[in-house]
Amino acid sequence: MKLTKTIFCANDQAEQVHDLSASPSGEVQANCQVCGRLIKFPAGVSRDDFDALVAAHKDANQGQVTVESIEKTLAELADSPVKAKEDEFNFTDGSGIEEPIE
Amino acid sequence: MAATFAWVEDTGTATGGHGTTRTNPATDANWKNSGVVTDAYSAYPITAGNNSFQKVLYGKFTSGSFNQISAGLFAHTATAFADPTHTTLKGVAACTTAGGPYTYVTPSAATDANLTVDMTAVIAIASGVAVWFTPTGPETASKAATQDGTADRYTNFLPTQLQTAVGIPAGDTTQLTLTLQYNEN
Repeated sequence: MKLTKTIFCANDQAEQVHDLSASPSGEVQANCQVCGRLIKFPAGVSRDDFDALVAAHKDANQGQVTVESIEKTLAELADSPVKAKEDEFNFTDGSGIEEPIE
Repeated sequence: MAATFAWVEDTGTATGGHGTTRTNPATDANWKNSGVVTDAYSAYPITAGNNSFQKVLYGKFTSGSFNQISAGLFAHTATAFADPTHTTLKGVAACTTAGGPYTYVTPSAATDANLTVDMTAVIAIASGVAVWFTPTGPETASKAATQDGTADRYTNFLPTQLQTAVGIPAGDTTQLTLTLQYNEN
């Protein structure tokens, strides 16, 4: 049976369902089902402690503005990207290279 | 004249709110499976699925080199982790009237629940966590968003911990840039 918990995902900036598992050292590991990012919580926490940590995690990470999200927004705002022109001076075959004047 | 600034690192058993070993200036910011400053990270790798010891840095401003220090921010500002689904960088929460500063604990590989900020993603420094300044040391409960330059001043502790998941490829992580920004005059 898969154990899940809804936790705020800092990467997605949204509440997401996370899969719960135990890390090798017995800590609580939560992986976001959407982006796969992980969050760890200390071993041996009670339900109340866990809920408090989940709430603290949301408070601490809500509103982060990632550079990735800024770049995505800019891409959405911009006109269609201008296709780079074909290289007008293709010297790879040597045809565009002038011989030095003697 | 720019304020004279140094990164300083605390390590070792917690005593009086700080570490027993204070390294000024800090020599590196490598996350590893050891809390000993002089241990090479290559000799103390973090086993996949486990965490690094906390890396507890803070900033020191030397008096006489500034009039006032303010508007501190701390964030991961450049270079993304190569494998962010198996790597999480946790950091200190914002210092506010009600929150912080971070209370030093003896570094260990156990998940530090007081490091609540997910610093894995590269973010704009403007959305970094607020850093406040203390009058006599990072362990001081007394804190303010602004400090004058009549004596040496310090940021609150800026600890980080690298947490990993099983499946992360072996080898060094990408080299990141963590930025502490502040105003001085």
